[in-house]
Amino acid sequence: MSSKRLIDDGPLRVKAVLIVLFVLIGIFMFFPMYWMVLTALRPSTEIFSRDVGLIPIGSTTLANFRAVIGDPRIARYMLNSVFVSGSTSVATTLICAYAGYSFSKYRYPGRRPLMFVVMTSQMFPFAVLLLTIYVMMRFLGLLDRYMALVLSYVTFTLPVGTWTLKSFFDHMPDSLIESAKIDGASRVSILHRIILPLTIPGMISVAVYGFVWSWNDLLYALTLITSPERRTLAPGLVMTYMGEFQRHWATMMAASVWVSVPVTVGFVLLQRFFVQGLTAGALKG
Amino acid sequence: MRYLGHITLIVVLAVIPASVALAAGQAEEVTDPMVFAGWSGSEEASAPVFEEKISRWNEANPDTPVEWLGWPWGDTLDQLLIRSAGGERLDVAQLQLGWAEVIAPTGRLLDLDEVIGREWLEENIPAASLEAGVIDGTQLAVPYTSASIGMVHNPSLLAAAGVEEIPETLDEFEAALEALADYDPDIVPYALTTAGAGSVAQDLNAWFWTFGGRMIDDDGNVVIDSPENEAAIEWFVSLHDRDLIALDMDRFDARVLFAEQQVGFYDDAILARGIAIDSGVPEDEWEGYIMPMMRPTVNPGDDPQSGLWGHQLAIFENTQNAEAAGEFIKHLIGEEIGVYYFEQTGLPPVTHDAIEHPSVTADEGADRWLDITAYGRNHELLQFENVSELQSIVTEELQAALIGDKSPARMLADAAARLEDAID
Amino acid sequence: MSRSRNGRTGGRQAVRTGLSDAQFGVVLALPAALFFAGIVLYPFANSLIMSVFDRSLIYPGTDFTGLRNFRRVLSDPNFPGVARNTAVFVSGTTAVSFSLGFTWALILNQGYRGSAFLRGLTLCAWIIPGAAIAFLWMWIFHGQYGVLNLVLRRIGLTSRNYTWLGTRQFAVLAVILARGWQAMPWYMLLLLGGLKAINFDQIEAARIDGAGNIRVLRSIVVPGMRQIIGVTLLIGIIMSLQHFDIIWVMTQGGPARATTTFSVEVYRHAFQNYDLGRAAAVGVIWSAILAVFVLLNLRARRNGE
Repeated sequence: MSSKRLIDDGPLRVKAVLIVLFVLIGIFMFFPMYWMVLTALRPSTEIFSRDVGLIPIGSTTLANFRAVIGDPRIARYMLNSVFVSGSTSVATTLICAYAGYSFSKYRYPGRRPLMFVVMTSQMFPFAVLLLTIYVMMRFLGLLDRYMALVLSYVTFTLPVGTWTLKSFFDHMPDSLIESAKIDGASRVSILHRIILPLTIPGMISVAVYGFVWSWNDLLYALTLITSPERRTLAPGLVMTYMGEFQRHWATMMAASVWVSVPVTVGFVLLQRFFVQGLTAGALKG
Repeated sequence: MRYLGHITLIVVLAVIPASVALAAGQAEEVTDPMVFAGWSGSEEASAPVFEEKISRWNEANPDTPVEWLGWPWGDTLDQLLIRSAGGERLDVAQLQLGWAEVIAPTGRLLDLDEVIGREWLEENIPAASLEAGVIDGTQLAVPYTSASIGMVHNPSLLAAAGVEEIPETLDEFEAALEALADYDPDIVPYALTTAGAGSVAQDLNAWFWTFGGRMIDDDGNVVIDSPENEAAIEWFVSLHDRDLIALDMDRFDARVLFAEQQVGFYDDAILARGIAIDSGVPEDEWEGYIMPMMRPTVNPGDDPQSGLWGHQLAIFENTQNAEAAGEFIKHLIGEEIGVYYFEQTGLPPVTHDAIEHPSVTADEGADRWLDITAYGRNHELLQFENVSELQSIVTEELQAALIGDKSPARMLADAAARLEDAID
Repeated sequence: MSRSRNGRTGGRQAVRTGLSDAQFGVVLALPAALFFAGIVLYPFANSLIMSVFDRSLIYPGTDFTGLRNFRRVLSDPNFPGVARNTAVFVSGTTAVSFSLGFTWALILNQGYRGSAFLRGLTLCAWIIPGAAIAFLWMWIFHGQYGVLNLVLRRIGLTSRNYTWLGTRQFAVLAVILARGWQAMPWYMLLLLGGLKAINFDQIEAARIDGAGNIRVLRSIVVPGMRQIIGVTLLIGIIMSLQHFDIIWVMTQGGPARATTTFSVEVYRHAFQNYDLGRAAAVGVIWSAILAVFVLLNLRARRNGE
């Protein structure tokens, strides 16, 4: 009987290969995380000690986590990051969906050059663009506003987002749109009621991409936001734990673990929806 | 022709936001608090100290309150340049020694003789450290904390390895390193900084002086490819070949390793002790674990070398209240806050009253550092505004020599050529 | 054209009735176009202008210097090295993330128990800020206390500590692994999406014809995912090319420039040398190289269709 799985793991040989690959990649992927947690659990004066064990025996402490969790600054940075990344994520998904649909299903003069510009321009080094953007945001009175970050992040995630969604739309048969037109649906409602729901998996990828992009950015967040209470996570962590004289390895690791928790939970919750979307898309498409 | 039309469309689209931007550019902010910018006030270890400094000022001066603005240390100079160029409010800034040279050409630093007054400055600050803030004849910065980067050793580790005397010459130093290596092959006998461009260039400079060489002469010429420096590099290579120094060693790692008793010697400033205690050295018996020392010399009796190090304060023209900013600087370096800062972080004060304060003079470790600082010289690359680029060049070339890519002579010749090219 | 059947969208429709299909398409693309014009195109144009001037972040003046900045960049003896490092870094990270991401996606797609959890856990690597990831890997590769040395010594492969980040090959390998680790979840996510969309009937049919796993992968799975694989690789390459923070924190481009890529070089010109003109010139050259690459890619894609 053939397996219902993509790789038929019936034969013992296949099973063995799968297990070996699983273990190897698993170690590569999860051992650093494990080591991060373990470091965070060590007293900060003891992380540099010659006889560290690979398992948490001996002096483990929650002091690093307590320091991080009790630090109102970290909570603030995290909230700010959630807000900025959330806004970016929603805005970029919508804008990319419209643009990708337009590029994929409509023909108009200027479409190709526009697509080309969209693709290539994001390859220009962001560090250089920043200098002009800083002056521009200042003129607009947007310096130290989240808007400045969201505008930049949305733009930087547009090319990849648009491209991803365009390829989703390319796969969608025109007949789908045609038959909806015959039913008398407007272009706006075809897009919103028929096309976009079918694209949910793609849209979620774009949303996640936009979220993570803005979550990780250091350079722009550092430059365009200046008040301490509006700082986002990446600059906040670097600023607090990578000092002029000392690097607080253990607390830094604890903070990294701690701030990953809510987002990971979010991902895991979203994932169910994501997988459903993928399966639905596959069946209908 | 049709494409031309599209290009025009794109250009027009590009112009719209720019003109909107111009139209929206309005002046705002009149009574905002003064901005005190830098890095130390955001770091975990010193943030509370800065909060205290600022809140004491704000209580006494409710009309001209101050607000802290911080960046990570490595990004502060860039951010100061971007912010001042953008015309944002920026009153007083904390600078690393050498940064004032970088900012000076922008013309955005105020003459402190005018703001604070020549008289007050000369009366309160020792001439030598005041002089460090003079650029092209103008007092653009004043010292905030002033010290030197010298060497420290671990007495108990040396004793365990059988080294009785603190080495004074290179030969004694090498013998001590060999003894440490024999005692425990896993320790790094001398944690010479070999990573992190700023520290590498600074420490290398002190060793060049020790061998009688320089990087830049008094007329600003590149003189790094000298026989003296070649001897220094050859010595480093031989230390590396015998595993007496390590690659990829930055000051951060050197400090923690030292605190863990895994390093015999390394270069650091006075605050090394506080960090060692913070990293696990017992507070009541630190004398057994960390002691400052003079840098070994080639011949007995030569001057032991060390590089000056410190922070400065400056006022940007972006200030809206230069007078209050000047007063705030006096507040920061004055006796009360100067002594408080020293007590909390170990950073030496700069005004006479604070330096002579009992709690500063009573500190034995601090006293030894003053002896070292007496020999302090300015790191020769600090006078150039592209100092980080120059330091990167020196660091890359040193790394190339240590990993065996280039011979010491070749490395110094390459470094000289690249420095000359970068200095034009 | 009567569309009043749909009452709820009636109000908005009224505005759109006059638009032709082409115009409607333009309207849809307009927000994206505006964002581009403002945040990328205008600063890009500004940078192009900068690249022919002697612009500095610290000196106020701007002198027109024509192509001097480009000549300086291209005649820099380090330039070929930077190009080579960039090629090694980009292809290395792409290879690591793609091969591992694809294999991981295949395994997690099997639907074994716990897959969903592992998938979520994998994504963790992607949301830890880059600087923290750089720290983590520095910590792993640490010359004295790194766990890598520890493990190698425990299992008896070496007896001495090894300073990984101090040597050329291993420093390059270390930044590639760290970046590959960070990017792998993204590859996995996209490729997993592609795997889910594959028509299972085809696989069953092939199996009945006696096809083994390798043949199923080669003749059904990979061709079915051509589009998504292409997109993933393209995005991955661009992201690696722009990548800066992990390299900067781990090695600062060292030792002896071994890990200096284009993005590190641009950052150096702009923020260490404050030479905006030269930074912009590197940027323009970099974009030109990429534009050729993208153009070829687009053409190949068009021909393939």
